[in-house]
Amino acid sequence: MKKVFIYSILFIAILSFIYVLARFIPGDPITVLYGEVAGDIVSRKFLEHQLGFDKPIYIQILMYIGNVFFGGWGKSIYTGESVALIVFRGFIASFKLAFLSTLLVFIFCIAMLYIEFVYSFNGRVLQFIALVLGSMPIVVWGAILLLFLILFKGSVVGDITPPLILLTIAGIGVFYRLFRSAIEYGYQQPFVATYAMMGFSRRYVFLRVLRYSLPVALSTALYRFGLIIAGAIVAETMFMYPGMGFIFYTALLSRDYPVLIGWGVAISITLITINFVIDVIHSLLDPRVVQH
Amino acid sequence: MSFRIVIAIVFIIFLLVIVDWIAPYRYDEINLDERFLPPSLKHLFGTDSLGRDLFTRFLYGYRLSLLLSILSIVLSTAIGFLMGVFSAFSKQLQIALDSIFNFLYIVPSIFIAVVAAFTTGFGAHIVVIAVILRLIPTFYRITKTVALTIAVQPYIEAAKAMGASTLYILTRYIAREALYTISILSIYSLPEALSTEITLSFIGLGIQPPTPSIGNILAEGIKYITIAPHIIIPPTIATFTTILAIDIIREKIEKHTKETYNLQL
Amino acid sequence: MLRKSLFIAAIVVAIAIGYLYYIAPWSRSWAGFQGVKELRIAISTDISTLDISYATGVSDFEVLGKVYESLFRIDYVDGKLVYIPWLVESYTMVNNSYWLFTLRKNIKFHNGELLTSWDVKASIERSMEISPIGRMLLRDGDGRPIIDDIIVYNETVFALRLRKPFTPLIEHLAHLSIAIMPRSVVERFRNGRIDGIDSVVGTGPYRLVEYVRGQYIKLQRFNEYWGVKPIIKDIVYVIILAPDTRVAALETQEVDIATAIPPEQALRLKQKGYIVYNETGVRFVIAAINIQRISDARIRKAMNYAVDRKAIVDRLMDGFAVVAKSIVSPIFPGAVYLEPYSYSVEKAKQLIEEAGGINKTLILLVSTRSPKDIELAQVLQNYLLAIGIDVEIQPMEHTAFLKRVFTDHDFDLAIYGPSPSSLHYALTYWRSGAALNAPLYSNPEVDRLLDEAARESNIERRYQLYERVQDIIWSECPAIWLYYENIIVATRPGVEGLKILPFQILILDNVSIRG
Repeated sequence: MKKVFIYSILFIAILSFIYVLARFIPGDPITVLYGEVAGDIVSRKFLEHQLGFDKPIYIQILMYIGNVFFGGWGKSIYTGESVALIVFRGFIASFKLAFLSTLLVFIFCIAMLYIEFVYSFNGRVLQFIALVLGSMPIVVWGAILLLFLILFKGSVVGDITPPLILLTIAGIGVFYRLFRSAIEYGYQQPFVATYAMMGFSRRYVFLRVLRYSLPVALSTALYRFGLIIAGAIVAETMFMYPGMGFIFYTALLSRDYPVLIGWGVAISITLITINFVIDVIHSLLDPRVVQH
Repeated sequence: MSFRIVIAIVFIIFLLVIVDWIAPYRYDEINLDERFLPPSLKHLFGTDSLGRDLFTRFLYGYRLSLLLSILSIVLSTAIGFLMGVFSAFSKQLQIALDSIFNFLYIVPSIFIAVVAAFTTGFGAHIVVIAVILRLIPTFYRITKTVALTIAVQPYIEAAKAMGASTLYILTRYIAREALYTISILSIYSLPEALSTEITLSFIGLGIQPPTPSIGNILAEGIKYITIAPHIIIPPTIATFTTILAIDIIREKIEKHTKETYNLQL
Repeated sequence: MLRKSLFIAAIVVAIAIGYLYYIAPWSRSWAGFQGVKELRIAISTDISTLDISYATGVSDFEVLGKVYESLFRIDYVDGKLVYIPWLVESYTMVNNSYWLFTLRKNIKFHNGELLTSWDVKASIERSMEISPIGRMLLRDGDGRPIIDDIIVYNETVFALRLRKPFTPLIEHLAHLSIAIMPRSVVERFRNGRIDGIDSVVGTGPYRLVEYVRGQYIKLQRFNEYWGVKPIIKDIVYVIILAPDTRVAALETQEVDIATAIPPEQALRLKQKGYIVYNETGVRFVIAAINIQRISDARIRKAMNYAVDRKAIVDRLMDGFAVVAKSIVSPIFPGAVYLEPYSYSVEKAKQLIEEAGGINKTLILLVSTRSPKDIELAQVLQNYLLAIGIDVEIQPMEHTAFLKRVFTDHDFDLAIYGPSPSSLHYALTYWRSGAALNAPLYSNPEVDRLLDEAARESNIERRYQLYERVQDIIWSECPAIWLYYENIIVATRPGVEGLKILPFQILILDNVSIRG
């Protein structure tokens, strides 16, 4: 309950922060924030009044938060389409991408670790592979993938597969190391030695260790999930996948301020939610967290 | 061991300093007759879409990207470190800073960078802003944690009892201890800084042409990947080796720490 | 044990959901156009509006031009532009300021209404009022409407009474920004923007059925179209911003036609067996010079001598452009070839010296929309440096660029490419105070000659007046004249019957696809 309170405070604070930040953007605030292009003075004054621009700043912020809360995110300067709708569509697409990519990364990493720890495969080789995957810039992977797709007549526009491959490659690079050190730490725990002495199979021990390090691994994975929703800009724009990153990019190119701000708000909400979920999962999977 | 690392670093710095003398051409020297040439003796890395020498551009670009990354890491280390250390000593300050950095942790840094770009114009400073915003919260958190653990150590209590001033304790004990952790961490963040620069250049927010940077050259190379695949090779290898080198340094440091830890035991 | 099985079950369920989620057809975001047989066209920018009266960009007219029609249609025959009566069956010039038109009968709008003179009146009046391009086409140099009144006689007969004689009227009415839409739609939206696809109603061969911003626009054949019905039933315009991805999409057969192909890619595509169309275009790429900042004509001339256009066209554009020898594209009837500024560093340096040199760094603005323009900017920077002029390039996002160049006039040099639809229109860019007169060029003689040409009904004498205008502007150099960009469109083998207008408009009437 206390957590919910803290997170809602954070939520309101961040929305205010974004509002103040958005006011820095040069241009007419009505256009910048809500995408309303008011021509004559009378309708401008009416809009200003309606949106609260003639009131003190804290009232403006409160009104803005209220608007965000009830879906009044303004409309796109160019198409007049509702920003909430645009962002929602992008969010769904990104969510799918993030979900699949995180899942794939998770599966691949566990498989790699399984091979390493259960069959005593040389860990350095796998680590090196992960390092190579992770340290090449994602744009380069994108270029290589593009060449392959042209060669094999794959889909380069709008399909989920290319960005999924890119994010999985980059994800394994980053995630494998973290996951591995968590597992290694797990193996140093006393219970592992006990199990080993009791004659359990290596696979069983591995699974126990996996279960032991799950909270850490899961929260890292969730954090990465949030990062993909927020910032798979390169992977999405290269292959025109219509997720959040792509929305950000097109809005940036056309200076569609209301969409950009909506993007910022949506990402912030997502990241807050994910932090909250991580907190909750931690206390569920690892009861010790609550006791502290 | 650490001696070799120092030599390597000095060597790289030396190379980057003398770029102006060893570069065979001007980085913005256009020659329309020599577009998209593959690597040759005349042009070691080939030429780009405007016939500019890629070797020269690469040297300048790598230097700029590296300098910008290091500059932003130094800045964020300094800010994060100071804030972290101070927050360990004042509860009010800690609450205030915690909430600010929680913001930065959640509001995407690229969003703030975009607003900054709209307000002040595009350019290298946007890269610095984006990297700093991304790194400071981490630096702050870690410094704070380290500082807090040290602050409750018995020897600090002892120093306090002996009448040492807060400032003295801060600089003498806590800052020194925390600095060690944070300096290691700052080395680790170089890949992050580099990749931020590349991403920003890719979406056109970063360093503007004709000034070369790793991200710029990569972005152009990808544009012409089917015609002139040689363009992306040098920056790719450079990024790759830089990150690899940092990884080796990291491993060395970890080993070193382990050894000293064992010795203390 | 229970916890362990719970854990395994959770993972299995997660994988299963993920898998289903991925393969389930409704979850595919591009299901809108995958798997259906239709013509897919990759365009380089999204449409900026659904309201053709507000349209300004190439994509706007390409897409909405299939939905809407104007009274006249612009066609391209044997290298010259012609303006043919389209929704209009016949017209007569009663006297030089009174024109009488008769509409074709039985033309249906997409919503089932019949086209009447009232629709025409409402549409033209709206366009004259709100369309950024329509306002330029149908207003004179002082901003007053050319058309005084539109008089409706009956369902199909109407007349335009002009404020003063205006001979290029037909050419201007042919522009798509003066498209005809039902009066009911005009009355509903007035001066507001049409923003729902249900209200995008025209008389054209296709109807707009779906628009997903930034992704694709779907058109469907209008089966009650009055003219010859096109062969293709569905058209999907796929928006692909990056030129390399656009080409890649063609190669992976995700699109049948790709527009705005970069010159470097054109040769490669040709070698790989794709059909590459290469047409002289109207887009006149120039680097406008702000007259108020650089008022000495000798310096402007020097800049023109400093640039090797042939090298730019042959190398940078790989020959897919035409060196500018005139200030309007040679495809317009009445365009004249003028004495070229041949590349000469010495001459340029000498002119600069005479003018007393230039002692500040010039700001060169360029829009980030066209990658080629950014490369061109760097080439220009290099040429100008050679004659001692320092230039700083400032790439800007397109809308911001337009505002800074055409509204604020806050630049020294700016690269852009006007794409006019008629000779008169092209020349009015240079009229004092014209909306697209970014360099703030002003010459009373030019204004006077243009007014005179608009009144002149004898075509020979009119072209003579135009020639003098072109000569004056060319020699006073309000811009570095560069080149006419070719229009490069590539199709996969099997797409036949495509025709391309110099405005980068595709004519799809006779297109068919095999295979």
